[in-house]
Amino acid sequence: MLTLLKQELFKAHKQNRLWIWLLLAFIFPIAVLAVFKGTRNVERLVGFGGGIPYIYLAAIIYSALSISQEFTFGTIRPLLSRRFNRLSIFISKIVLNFIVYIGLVVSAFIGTIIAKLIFVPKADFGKQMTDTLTAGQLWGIDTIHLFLEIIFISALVIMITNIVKSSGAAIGLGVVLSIGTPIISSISLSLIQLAPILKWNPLTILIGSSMLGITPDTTLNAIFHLNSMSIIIAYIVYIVLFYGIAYYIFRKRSV
Amino acid sequence: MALLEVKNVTKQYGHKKVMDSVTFNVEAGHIVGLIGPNGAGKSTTMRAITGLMSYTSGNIQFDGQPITFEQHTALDKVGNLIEYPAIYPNLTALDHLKLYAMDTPSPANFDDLMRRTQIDGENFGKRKAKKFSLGMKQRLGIAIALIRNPKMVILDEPMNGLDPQSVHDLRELIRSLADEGVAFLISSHLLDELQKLVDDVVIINDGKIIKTSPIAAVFEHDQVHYQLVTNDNILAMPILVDQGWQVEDENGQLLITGPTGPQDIITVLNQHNLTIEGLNTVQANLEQSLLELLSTNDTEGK
Repeated sequence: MLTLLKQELFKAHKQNRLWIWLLLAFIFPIAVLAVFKGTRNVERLVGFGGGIPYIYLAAIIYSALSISQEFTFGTIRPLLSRRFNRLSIFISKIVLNFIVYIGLVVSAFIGTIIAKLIFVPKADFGKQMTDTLTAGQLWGIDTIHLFLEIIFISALVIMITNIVKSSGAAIGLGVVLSIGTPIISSISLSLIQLAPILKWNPLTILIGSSMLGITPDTTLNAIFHLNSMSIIIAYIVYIVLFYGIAYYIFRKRSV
Repeated sequence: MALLEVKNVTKQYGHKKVMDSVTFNVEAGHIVGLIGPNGAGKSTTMRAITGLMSYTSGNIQFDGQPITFEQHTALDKVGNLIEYPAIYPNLTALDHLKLYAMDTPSPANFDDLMRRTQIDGENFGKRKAKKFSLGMKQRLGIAIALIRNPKMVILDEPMNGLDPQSVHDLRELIRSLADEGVAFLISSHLLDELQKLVDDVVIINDGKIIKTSPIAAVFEHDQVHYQLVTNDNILAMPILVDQGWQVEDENGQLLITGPTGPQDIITVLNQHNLTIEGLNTVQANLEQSLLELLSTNDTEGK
């Protein structure tokens, strides 16, 4: 497994695309605060200077291409015709994706801190943002939500990529899921009203997971008819299901 | 014991058999040509051997270890180039070797391998593979197939995109590696080139092996043809047929199969006062033999 991961890291490190994405994640908050003076406040800093949609986009595209580009390049054959089993190969791809997600967030974080030092040095992360959370705490929770959503959407994207054998459709779906929150919420709530069982649909779980830790159970119950624990369990089940289906297809595929 | 043993391997999609009881062996140090028309099952057979495709029944063993879709640890000592080279566009030739060498404890020496496969020139250097020509990619693909110091190499159309000099150099490389004990299973449409290289041939058609033999045995029944032009071909033809030889008129030339040598033809024609205007010996070739075998196979099949 370590060998496979080393190979994946080597390939990733040699790709200009990865470095450009990481650089853009770093520059984005600095550029936004430099250009738009109205955004020079702690609220914008907590949202990575408005860079969250970019992080989603980069993570989704990277996930979709992680397996599909091996087919595009024709490199899938030597990848699979070795002593390693397909599960190890699949896991090494997923682990690399996780490393890239972390890299994107860390780059955006460093960019945000530099933007703060340059443009809003007096911004106070101890400022009370909600009844219970300071700006710093909210940033931490938002970052966890960002990870949770990236992991959820990327798992879905990898599954779709494996099913339709094309990264394009999967990327499109991923982009809609990551930036079309109002539409998703509306569809999700409509589904719940249509039939109570549909509260378990993945859109509800995606939206619900983004409210964990900042929304009380009573509110979650009122909106989704689910409490935090149910959402967490359903979230994990969906992740396992998406990756499970993706791996099943990957394992069965003749190349 | 053979290095590679393919025994009764069948691959079935519904009622359609794309491999039908395929059986053959490859010995260490032997160069085996896997030949057949398009769609005969060559690439399918190679994919099954390299663990890329499941098979319905039979078994494949390499160096005593099984190779299946799920289990193929034995492939550590098998290099392959199936259909097209596996190239990452953003990596240089050396990057590729470093990448593929990571999963083997004893990789080939990079400098030596690059020199032998001719990927050490200025054309390669720091250029990324996306800028390589087809021939350059092919040479890199062959270098990748050799990076693990394999006991056996499987090459599907290795001469694609190579210029005549490179084809010659590749032939020399394969031959020298075979002399060192490396086995090769090679498929190619360039049968003339394959004929110069292989020790044995496995001929496949419609997923079935129709002949497995040393290359020399393929030609033993029709090793040589003679092209003859006389002052009167119409008169000469029945005289030659009377000798029990096979004679065909091809655009004013008589194509004769059967005499033990050209002297036989000269003697017979002299006896009938016929003048020889041209007589050429035509060595049998793999392409012709393959066509004859396939034609016989088709007839038997019907």
